[in-house]
Amino acid sequence: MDLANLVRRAGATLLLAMLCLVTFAQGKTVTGTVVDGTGEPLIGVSVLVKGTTAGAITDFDGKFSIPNVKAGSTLVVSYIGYATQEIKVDDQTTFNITLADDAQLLDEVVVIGYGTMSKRDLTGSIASVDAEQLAAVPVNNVSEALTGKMPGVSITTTEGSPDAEVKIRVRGGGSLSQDNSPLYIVDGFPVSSISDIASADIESIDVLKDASSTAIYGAKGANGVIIITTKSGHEGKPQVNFGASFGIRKRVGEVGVLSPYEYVMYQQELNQDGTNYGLYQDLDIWKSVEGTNYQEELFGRTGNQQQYNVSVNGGTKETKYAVSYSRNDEKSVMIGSGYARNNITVKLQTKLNKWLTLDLNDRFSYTEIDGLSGGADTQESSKAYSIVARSTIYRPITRLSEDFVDEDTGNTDFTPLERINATYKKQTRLQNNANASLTWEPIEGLKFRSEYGYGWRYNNTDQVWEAKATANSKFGYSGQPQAYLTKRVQKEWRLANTVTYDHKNLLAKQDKFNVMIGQEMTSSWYDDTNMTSVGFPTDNTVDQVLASMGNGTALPTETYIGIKDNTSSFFGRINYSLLDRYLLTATVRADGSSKFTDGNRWGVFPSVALAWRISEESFMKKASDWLSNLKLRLSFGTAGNNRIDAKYMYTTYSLGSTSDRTIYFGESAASMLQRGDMLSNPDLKWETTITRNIGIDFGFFNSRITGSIDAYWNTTKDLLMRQTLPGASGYSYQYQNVGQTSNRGIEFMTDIVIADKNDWGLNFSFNIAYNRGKIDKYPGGATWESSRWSGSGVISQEEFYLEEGGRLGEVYGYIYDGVYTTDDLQWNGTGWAIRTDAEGNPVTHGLGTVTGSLEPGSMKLKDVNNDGVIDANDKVRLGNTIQPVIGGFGLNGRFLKNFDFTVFFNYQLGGQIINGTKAASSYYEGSRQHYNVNNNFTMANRWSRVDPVTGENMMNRNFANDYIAAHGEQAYYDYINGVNSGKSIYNPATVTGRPLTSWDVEDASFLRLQTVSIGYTLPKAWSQKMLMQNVRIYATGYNLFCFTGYSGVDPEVDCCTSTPMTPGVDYAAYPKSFSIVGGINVTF
Amino acid sequence: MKNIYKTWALAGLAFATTLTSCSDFLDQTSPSEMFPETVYNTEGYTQQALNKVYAGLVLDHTYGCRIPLNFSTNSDIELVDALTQETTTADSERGLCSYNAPNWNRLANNWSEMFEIIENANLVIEGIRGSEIRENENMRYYLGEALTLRAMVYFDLIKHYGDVPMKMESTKSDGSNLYLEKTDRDVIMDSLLVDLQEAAELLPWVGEAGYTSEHCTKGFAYGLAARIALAEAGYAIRETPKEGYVNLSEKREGQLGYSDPTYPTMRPGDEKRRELYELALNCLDAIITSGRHQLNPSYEDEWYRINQLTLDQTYYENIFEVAHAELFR
Repeated sequence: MDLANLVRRAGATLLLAMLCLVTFAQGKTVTGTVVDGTGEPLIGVSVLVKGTTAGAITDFDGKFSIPNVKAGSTLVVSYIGYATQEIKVDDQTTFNITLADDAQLLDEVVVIGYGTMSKRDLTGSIASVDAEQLAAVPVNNVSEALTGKMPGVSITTTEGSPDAEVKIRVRGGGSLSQDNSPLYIVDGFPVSSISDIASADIESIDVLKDASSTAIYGAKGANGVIIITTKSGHEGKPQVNFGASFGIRKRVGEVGVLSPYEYVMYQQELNQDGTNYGLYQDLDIWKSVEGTNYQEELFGRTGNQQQYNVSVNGGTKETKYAVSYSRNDEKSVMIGSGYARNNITVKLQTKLNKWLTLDLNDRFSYTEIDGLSGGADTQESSKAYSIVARSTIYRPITRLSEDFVDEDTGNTDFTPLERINATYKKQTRLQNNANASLTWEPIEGLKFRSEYGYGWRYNNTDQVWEAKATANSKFGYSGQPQAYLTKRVQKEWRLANTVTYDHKNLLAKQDKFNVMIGQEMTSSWYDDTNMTSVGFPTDNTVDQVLASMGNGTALPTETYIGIKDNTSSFFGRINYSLLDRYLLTATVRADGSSKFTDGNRWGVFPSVALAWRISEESFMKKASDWLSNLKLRLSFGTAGNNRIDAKYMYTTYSLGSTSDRTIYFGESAASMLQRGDMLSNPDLKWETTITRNIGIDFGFFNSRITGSIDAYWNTTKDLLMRQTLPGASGYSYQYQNVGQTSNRGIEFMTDIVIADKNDWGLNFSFNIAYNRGKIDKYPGGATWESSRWSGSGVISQEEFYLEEGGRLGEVYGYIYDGVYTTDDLQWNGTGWAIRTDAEGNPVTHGLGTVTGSLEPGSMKLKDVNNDGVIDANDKVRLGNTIQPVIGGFGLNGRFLKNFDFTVFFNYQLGGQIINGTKAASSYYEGSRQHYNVNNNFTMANRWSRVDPVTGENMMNRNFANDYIAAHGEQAYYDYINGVNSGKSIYNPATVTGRPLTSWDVEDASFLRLQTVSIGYTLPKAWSQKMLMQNVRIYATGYNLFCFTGYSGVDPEVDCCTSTPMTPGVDYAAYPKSFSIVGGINVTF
Repeated sequence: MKNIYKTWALAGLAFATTLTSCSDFLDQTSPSEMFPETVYNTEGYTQQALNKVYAGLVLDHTYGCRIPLNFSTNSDIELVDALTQETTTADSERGLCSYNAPNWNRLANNWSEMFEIIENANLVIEGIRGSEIRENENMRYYLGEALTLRAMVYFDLIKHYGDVPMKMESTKSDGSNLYLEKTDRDVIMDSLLVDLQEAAELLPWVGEAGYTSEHCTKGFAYGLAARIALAEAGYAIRETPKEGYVNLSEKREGQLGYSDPTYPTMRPGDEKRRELYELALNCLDAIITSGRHQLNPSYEDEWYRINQLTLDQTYYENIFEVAHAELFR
């Protein structure tokens, strides 16, 4: 070997060795795998080298690789839902990292008034629903999606129309005659209704229930506060979401009425001369006639619904944005009924500099609603004759006779189908809410925030009736087409300024202190313009009327410039927590409202709440393996309610409207100035609700079982009561601050994670709430209230009783006691009379409040006090229409890795309902022939006065006397009893008017299968191939079954009553529907 | 630094807006709702308020149906079919004919709507009496009309219900005159006679100042006064025996002289009766001697005009008629 070669080789090796040393000193490649607690690899975990911009994201197998990592650096491993880990890089190059579940549930943030708080620091009673739970329910109105999900929050969709009112009551509600709706806040801005918000835009909904949470809203918070937070942008790559769904809907059922043959046999009871439906011997021909089922004609079609939404959100550290568009389109089950809504929402948040942040958001919605808004929506003088009300009892066949000698030649001449086809209604609602806020944080912990928002609403309603629908119009001029156009412009603004200060270690070690003071002003007002035109050419159609309004006679245009509803408020809150275990919250708010006169304007509403996190105590540490959370909460506070029309302060005059009856000097209508029918009261002031709440939040087995129990006692005093005044005063009512009510109740909710494995998981949630209201003070003595669903009929008069010590919703009536038989009555030669016994005393009582004819088969009421007559003293309590127990429960879970499902039930127990539809179709009302009755009165069931052989009226003078002459009196009675053997219910032909009875009031408890949903998420591998991050397809069934003993269509209904003091009547309700929806959600 | 000034300015603006007119902010009214001061100091608005009093007369529960039709059954020219016992005992308008409808629920509507008319009339009367333009000719006419209408409605209340609450002033919001006791009908009728005398002074004759027989006129005020005076002077079934009054049984015999022991049929004493008859005579003389109202010589013509909805502008045989609409039922 050469020496030169050796030197060269040695040099090269040395050089190589040195190079190796140098590269080692510069950094090495670090690799590893990140898995979760069960050993499953986590995808998308961020692994960063601390202090540098180097890092990596784990792949499908949870593996990552970072080159050039210097020795001594630290890896920061973070992923949402897991606790962040920091790992020092020493000699290791490969790491197997296991991330632990973050105890996230307690750090969840909840929105409270004017701020947010983490759940662990809450002292009040707040229930929350998140976006996922809402997205599962395919309804237009997001309030409906909340049904049964929050304990103590009772949500009733009053009927099935697309824009039906959804009544929300938090813990019963204190008012008797006023609206008990809670306050709705969307992104800090109070709104009058949340029906126009797209569920896809909602991040979460929080409901504040007790005064310590609602006191910060002062005068409007007495009935609870529902806070909706919409989705905001977040830092990171822009995320695009797209969703679409399509579904079909059908009505849930109908009221059973008599078939054509049964119907003509019933009409035979009313009229035996054979002119209307044929001679008695020929009536069986009707068995082959199908007849028209008007409920089917009006509500039987298959509706459909479509929903689309698309949203983009993303941002950088400085600027975050969220833009979304959604559309809801529905063709509802009733003819001419439909709903279309478009929502556009834009949210922008940007840091102007180190201290200033600017938030801008705008919510725009445009809605078009076609068709009637509900069963009571009618222009007739009485809603008892509305199209929906008549659709149950209208005759299924046409009469043979030409001679129409109807008692009222009104709307009743035309079939419901003709009337609905002649009715046009279109509502358009354009709404826009714009908010801007500026936050200034000069030093850490001190925040100034100023918010300003402005809202516009333009609501137009166009209604046109063709000739067939105007036979009984409230405007008069019946028989010719009419049009009624209304426009409402509503505006509102709000300015709020708050200062928040956070400080730690203020008074003692380990304490947290947060104080907020603020000021707010709001104002809202509306202007109305109403135009009425009547007397169009009789054959004009809806389109012709709309196109040429000039063809009609214009009645005076009405305008109304509304009173501004202004409030000015000052408020403050202190939160103090010591050792993370002892929490204190105190708030106070002073509100001034323009609805009250000087001296009564201002109200002050303080509250205080305490909480103790028992699970954090040292003596509880040994239980920490099974007890993860135990918190005791106590709160006491006051809130106010000013939901009253501002015009009751003074006596004022305004022009009569086109539907008010006026005098016609020289045959032309005279204009008149009229006062309201409410006596003014300048001493009106706030209603105040005092709430006391005690609650326990618990969590077991590392939050596998979580939940809370709350017990509360609310008292509402200075109730704004609508007092009925004596008729001689010339006024019907006056509002006064008298009276006091209270609500006591208990709520329980729990979430149980039954299983949470790799491939499958199952969660069970349950809530139940019991509430009992009471009228503590009711000055002026007990009163009877009438729901008047039947117009002026006795059946809907004075059936609700309000008294001190009683409660809202108490229904009183007579007890149905069967029928009069030949044991009770005897024929006396000219008519039927009550039998007398040996001493000459009558064996039973007379008809009393039932009007009609007294004969075998007549309706008999119970003489409760045995005084021999049926009168108001025989009224007994039939039930209460407010359900005391409400709640819901459900299961949700996932299986087979990619499938997920949800099943949710909601229920209400213990209340009754007045079945007005059944009652209205159960007697010969007002002696009006040619109306149907319900199918409880088939020939097999009802007592009959028709002789099956000849078709004559067995109970009248001719037949009776002839039969008795031929066969004797006892044979006559035997014959009647023979015809009617086995019959169970009274003969409706004998009753022309009747009061409310126990037969009409039914149990309304129900269990509803509200939502069944099953979804499939495409495996990541497939969706990524399509350049989509997440694809989920799903199918949902909504309102599929309702288990109930109620004989009507749906027990969850509340419409057609005249005042809030008469809740719980089912009459002429737009039927509800069930729907089946399929859809897809894609995230790009 | 600039930023801090900007934000201070913004906060200051925000704060300043809160201080501006805080008291005005909470004092709000609507221009579409007028206060009584505005209404009764303007002739046009006062007339519209008076039209509301007239409008109460056309309602179903007052002179639209109840009083002329339903309350008048069981007379020699009108009765309800009595072939079936349902009708006469019916808890409906039909049962009224036999005074046998104890549970008929619409009677309360008649009561309350009649008092609504009276309340509206009270408001107009008080408004005009307190108005700055009360001496205007038109305002005097309006006052006369309101007084006459109130008297007419009260008289019908007395005829149908007997002793009723006497409410000659508008309802106070503090409730002080909400719950009134019955007042003896003669006291009320005396007060009505005073009102009508005043009204007769204020009102024009029919045909003057554009007043047709659809409005209250001098003739009607005198005529109504005469009727009330004659009614007061006559027999009525009283709630309790009254001193100084004459019992029917003293003046007639047998069946014709029947007077219930608890609810006696009585008339005012002779002195008072004379007064009332003289008043009636004076009122009726005033109408006859004025020559304003005459009988139409042709009954056919009168009937024809009524059916043509044309007012009689020649003879004014009808002294007063309620102007119902043709198109309302």
